[in-house]
Amino acid sequence: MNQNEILLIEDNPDDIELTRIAFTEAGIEQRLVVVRDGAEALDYLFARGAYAGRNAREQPAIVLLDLNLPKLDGREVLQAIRSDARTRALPVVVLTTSDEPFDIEATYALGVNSYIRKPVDFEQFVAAVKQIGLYWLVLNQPRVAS
Amino acid sequence: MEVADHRYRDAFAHADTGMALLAADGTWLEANAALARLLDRPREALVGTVAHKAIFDAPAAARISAAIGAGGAAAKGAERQVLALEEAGASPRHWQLTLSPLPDAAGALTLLQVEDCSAALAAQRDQDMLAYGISHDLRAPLRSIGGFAARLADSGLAADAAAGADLARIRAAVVRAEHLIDALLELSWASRQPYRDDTVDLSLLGEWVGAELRDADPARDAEIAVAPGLQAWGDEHWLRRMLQLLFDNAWKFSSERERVEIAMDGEVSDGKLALAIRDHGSGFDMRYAGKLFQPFQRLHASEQGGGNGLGLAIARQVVDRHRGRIWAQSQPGQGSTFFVELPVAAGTTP
Repeated sequence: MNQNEILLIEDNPDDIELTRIAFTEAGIEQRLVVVRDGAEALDYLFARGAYAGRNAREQPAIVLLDLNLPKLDGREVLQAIRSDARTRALPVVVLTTSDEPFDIEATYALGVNSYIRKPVDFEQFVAAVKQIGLYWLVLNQPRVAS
Repeated sequence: MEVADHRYRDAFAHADTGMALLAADGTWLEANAALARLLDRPREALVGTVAHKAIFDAPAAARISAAIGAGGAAAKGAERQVLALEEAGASPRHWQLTLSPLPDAAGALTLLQVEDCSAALAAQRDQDMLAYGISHDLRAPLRSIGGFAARLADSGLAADAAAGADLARIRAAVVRAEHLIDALLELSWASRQPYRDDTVDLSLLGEWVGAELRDADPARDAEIAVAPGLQAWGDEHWLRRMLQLLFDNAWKFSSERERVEIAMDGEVSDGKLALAIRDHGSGFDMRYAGKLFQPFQRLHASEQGGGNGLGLAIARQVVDRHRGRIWAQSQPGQGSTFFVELPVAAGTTP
């Protein structure tokens, strides 16, 4: 577990920028690693492809996952994370625009830790990011890697 | 088969619904022209054979055979059975089959009615995808507009009052647009989601919704009276939402009154509950009553308390899904009464 790293899986450049700003404004100092699609996210987590040099034992403190992604979508990424021993225990927070009951249901069924709808209002978004950071990076006691 | 009166034979032959008469062993004794058209086969090819075995795949044909004949629905006294069948292929067709045993024939004859619901299902699917697309794709640019406007406001670059006011307008518009998307999606969910069936304590829900309104505006002088013991049959979540929308309206349109007065009561007759929710607010002109429950048909400007134009459309959708009725009576300046008829128990339909 690398408590100094947050993995953001997001394809929309505006959302990446706003999330970055929100993390800064929320005073969260962990490094934000950004990957732009589901396939790149799995390459990063499993240290393959462009990320072959990475140590796969060093996993981010938290994964922020958008649902609508190019190539592999968020559900497929979640499925892959939950079915590999190296990433099974990784805290995954879905951060998405959808509040379709169907999406929420399907994502929880796949084992997400938390489902958060991105507020449209920027101040509320910053507040949400602050709470995510406080909960997952400060309050939550992660599983000790074996 | 014997159809005593040739007029009934004519009605069967010329009906626009695809129909066939099946014997207990599955043989199609009659088929009308509408059914031949629907199945794209000449009538002669259908009559005298167990035609469903040639038309539908084996499992589907087996379901039809099981529903008719000695051990089927007719023998068990079941009134009718509806089967939904899906046909494989490039553009799959969806059939709805209704099998009704003819009472006089003591189970020997079954009337089969066939409807092609492919178009309706495709339209439903499109609507689902549209709602889904709206919830994802329309919110993203809104968040960009709102987020970067917030940044601009914080940057100090828009220090002069006019620029600041412009930015405030942009951000307020973003919030309005978001509420509109939420309401559109809610309207779509209200029509699509499966509803639960249970006895629902409307009096409790009314008290709850009233308490929420009071909590949101504690300084406002308000009297909300809910009669006890009002019960309906349906989905608690959506019935609560319907009351919330009606109470919310009553509250909003009482803004010019010294105090808000809302009363909810009801009575039961013939297995249905007639609910009345009265206010003493500004009311509306009955000439426009027909527009009240249509989406985006507002009777008031936003300064007069008009909302996004979807609240009463959602309420109506909820009532429709309960097979109920909703309507309103009003006099400008005298207040409005909204009436809702709902079933009180399973199977009772207003």
